[in-house]
Amino acid sequence: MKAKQKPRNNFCPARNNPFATEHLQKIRYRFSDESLAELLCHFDTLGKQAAIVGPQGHGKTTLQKELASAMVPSQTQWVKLREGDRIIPQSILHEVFSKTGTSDLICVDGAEQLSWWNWKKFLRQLGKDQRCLITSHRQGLLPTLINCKTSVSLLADLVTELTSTPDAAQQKELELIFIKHRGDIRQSIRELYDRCSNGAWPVTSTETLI
Amino acid sequence: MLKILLSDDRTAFEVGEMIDVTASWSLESPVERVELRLLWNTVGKGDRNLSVEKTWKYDQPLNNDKITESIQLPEAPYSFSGKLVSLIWAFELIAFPNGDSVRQEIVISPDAKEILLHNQQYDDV
Repeated sequence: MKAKQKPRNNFCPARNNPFATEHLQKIRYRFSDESLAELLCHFDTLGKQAAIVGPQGHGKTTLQKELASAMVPSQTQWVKLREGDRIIPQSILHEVFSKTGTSDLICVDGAEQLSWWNWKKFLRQLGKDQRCLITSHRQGLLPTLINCKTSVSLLADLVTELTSTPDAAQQKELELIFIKHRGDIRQSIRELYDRCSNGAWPVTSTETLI
Repeated sequence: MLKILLSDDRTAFEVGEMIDVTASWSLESPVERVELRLLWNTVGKGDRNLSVEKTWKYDQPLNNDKITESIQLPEAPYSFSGKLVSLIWAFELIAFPNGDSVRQEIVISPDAKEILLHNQQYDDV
């Protein structure tokens, strides 16, 4: 005789997933060692050309956006480099430098992607007085403004903001996820998204599971 | 205050259905324009996509007003949800230039129900 079956509540539609991209984009950078004002002051003392350094998923780009908006330059020119972008095309360089005055800010996200030669070429065109804030996985391209660090408590803090305060068992899970992804908060949250979509991570309301 | 009212207070509709949408507003100060938009957007693990399918513009609106539009809903895409992505239809009413807005999400599909993309798993009882 066939056993009776009941549907398992293990599906969280993407629209109800608290770790969806639209929610992550609202998260602000958590300042710890230095406040926003201190970092802005630090940026000035470094000659207004500095680097936010750290591994992938450590909040560099989030902090860069936060600092750029707080600096209130006349305008900000953004150059976003993706994996494998060893060169900034001349047309983009021309557009960036032709539109930029020294009171403006040039932001390069992912500067470590550029080859040594192309980085030097960029620096020559940049000029000494031009405000510039970059993110990079490695030190040495520009003076380091801050080394971005992550922690399990930061991950727990973000999870609290997105869902609810993790209980002891969830806290343990977060530690394992954090270690697995070597402190990469972005990857950790992606894993939480997947767990949530399978019903393996609780959402705030049981009604959101189908 | 901005408000969107839909036919019979329903929020789920069949594709191509004709519906009445009432946009009303009560503004503290004059605005340049009010727009009613019918749009869909995606939500999920990846980047957000958005498509504004139709816009109704009301220039130099009165501070208090109410306008009803008879709208034929589109044939596609359908409202759906999976684990990775959901497609959500919505009406948005936006005042310019201050950006005040209100959003009313709706479902559009052949049987007026959101299509759920998942393999239901079962437990023996």
